[in-house]
Amino acid sequence: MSSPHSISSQQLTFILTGAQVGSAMLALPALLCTEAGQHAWMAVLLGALFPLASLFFIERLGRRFPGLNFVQVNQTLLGKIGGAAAVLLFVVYVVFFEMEIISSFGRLVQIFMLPSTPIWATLFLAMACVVYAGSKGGKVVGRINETLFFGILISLFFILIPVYYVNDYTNLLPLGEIDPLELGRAVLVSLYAYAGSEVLLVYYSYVKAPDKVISAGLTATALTVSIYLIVTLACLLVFGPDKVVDTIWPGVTILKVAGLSVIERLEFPFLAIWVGIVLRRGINLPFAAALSLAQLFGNENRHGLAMLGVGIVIYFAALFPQSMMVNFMLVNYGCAAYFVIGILYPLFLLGVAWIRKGVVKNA
Amino acid sequence: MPRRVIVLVLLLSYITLSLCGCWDAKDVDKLVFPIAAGYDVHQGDPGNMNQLSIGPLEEPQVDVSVLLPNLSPEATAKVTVEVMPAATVAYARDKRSYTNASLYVTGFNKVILLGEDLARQGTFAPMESLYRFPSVSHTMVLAVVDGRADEVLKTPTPNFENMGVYLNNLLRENKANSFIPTVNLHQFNVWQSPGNNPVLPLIKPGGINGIILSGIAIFNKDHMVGKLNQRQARALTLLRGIKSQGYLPLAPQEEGEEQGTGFFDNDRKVEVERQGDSYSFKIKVILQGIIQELPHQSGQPIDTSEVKKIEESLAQSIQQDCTDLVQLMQDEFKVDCIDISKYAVANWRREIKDQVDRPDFISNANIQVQVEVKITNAGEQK
Repeated sequence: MSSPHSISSQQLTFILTGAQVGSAMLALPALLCTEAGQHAWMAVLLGALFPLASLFFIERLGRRFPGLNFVQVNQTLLGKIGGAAAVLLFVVYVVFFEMEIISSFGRLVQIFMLPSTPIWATLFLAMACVVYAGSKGGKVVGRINETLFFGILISLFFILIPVYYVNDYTNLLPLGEIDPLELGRAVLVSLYAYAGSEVLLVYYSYVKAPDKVISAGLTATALTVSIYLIVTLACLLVFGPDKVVDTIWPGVTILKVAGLSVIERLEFPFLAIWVGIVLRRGINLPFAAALSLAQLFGNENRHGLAMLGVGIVIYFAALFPQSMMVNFMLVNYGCAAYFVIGILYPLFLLGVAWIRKGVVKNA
Repeated sequence: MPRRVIVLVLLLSYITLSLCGCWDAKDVDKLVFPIAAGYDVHQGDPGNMNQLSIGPLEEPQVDVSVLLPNLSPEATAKVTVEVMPAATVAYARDKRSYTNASLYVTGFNKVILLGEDLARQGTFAPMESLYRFPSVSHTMVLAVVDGRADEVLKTPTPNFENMGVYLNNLLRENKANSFIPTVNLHQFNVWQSPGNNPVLPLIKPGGINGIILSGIAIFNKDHMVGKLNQRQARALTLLRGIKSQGYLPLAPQEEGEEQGTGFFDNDRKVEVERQGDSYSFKIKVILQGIIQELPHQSGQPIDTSEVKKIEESLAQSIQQDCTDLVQLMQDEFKVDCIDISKYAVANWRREIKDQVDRPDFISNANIQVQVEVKITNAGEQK
């Protein structure tokens, strides 16, 4: 495969992890504990069923159309106009989702790092990086994800330092008081953290070894679950289920409860690394949207221009939420949107493919 | 290619000129670094700072005092202690802007002192802004002042750079050589969860450096409800299982012999049992340490039987202190200040979460204390 976007299965692992792990990692423990208390970590495990379902459906779909890209699959199954409409719907979803991600990123940077810098300046710089990285093509996106993945490991190390100094195992107990309704609600909340796995819809056709997509997806899900599990357990051990819900980003606040003699304020180096982690999530989805648009207009090589267009729209959309409270409201819509695009949509396409077996065979 | 270079130059120029370069740059000469702060119930207005206090929202409720080192070489005093009467703690920042144009680096503060009156009124409101303000570190250490916090900050301390430095050192390092715990902002907050109650070191004027650790302040959630002296404070630290180290007196082996001293660190184990609505707690305090001083006349080496006697005698004495404190807690304070209810919560969280902090829960609990002392060596002497 000579496409400038072709990626290895290992890069796919990191792209899928990068598309999921971002700001959600910092807020997730509070969101889950609000619903499930000390059982929040169980919601992390059960929530993984969503990206697994998404992975399974997309892989089954992709396997039926070897060599066809996302746009071609849609147009084969839904017709030229129906397929184009579906692709545009995907692009709109990405713009909406990225609006929330980039906007939250800007707000967090403003709150913890650059309080006097206007949000438009922070977002402009973030989007400049996103557009530049995406304009270089899938291979570069894959390599960026590979490299920046190790930032997550470093940031996890920072999060574990306070756990060493301040922890109380009774915060995790008792294990047996599970209320299925509360746990179910927490699992639904976790949807937001797993959103991003749907980028496989676009990336599937660029994986050099499609037979390794499942194993790459499983590894990515295992990595994502492990990261969320570590952060959630760490916050539970340090704050307890009753106090963790008082903070918006316990993943950052936890860093304020302990310090080392050489690094008194752990949150500052952590946030510097975290900027890279979030931008990974910022790059992967818009690149998928830009590539889909370029494919739709028949010239995959113009993905750079499409990336610029998508980036500009996301930039202005990200300026729209006027406060962090609006972002929290958007998260709820984001959960629903991911469920539709990440799970129902590939399932729907699979269903159409099953009904229109003849078309699939010809394709 | 030249177009690319132009775009790159423009982008790099933007990056260089924007972000912290333009908006968040702070000139270090225009910053002030508070080291310690104190909150008291409002009283008087010696600094004539109260001119804004018109109307219900402006009525001063709290005096916020801040200790600032004077960094200017021309300054005659080493520190400034500003006392700002204000309706709320965060609103005191407004008052400061009328006397000091420099930017306060709030995140630099290391110590928060609470005047006893304010601590008894409740700390939730005055301390809320500390948890809300992103730059504030939750490692700031806390203490209650037996009196007013602003008086402590104004106390001269000849052997240290200033009172803030001394208090930071005293309150942060005390657990390494006394049985009075170090409590930071984070700990104070999580100790207000169901089944927990905070304790804070208590300080008062005295000693060579102007201020001494005089015991521990007991809280019912955010309200101070009692005070313990140094000996009771030691028992409380051991019962709570707060890891610390300190000196303990060793009883004489034989009548007429001199008393000795040991250096111990502590641990604890708690078991909880339930029969209907009655709860039984078994607390095992474990002390492990070394003999640092034991003047005995016999000239014979200290053998295992003698060590055992010393261990038993110390265990008995500490057990008595602990039992007395448990009695005081159950009869007078009626709050779990020894941090055992959390073990009941850990077993029956959903069922007892709403009742665990009621006074009768801890008052009616059956609490047994057992102390185990282990001496591991006796130093260089036989």
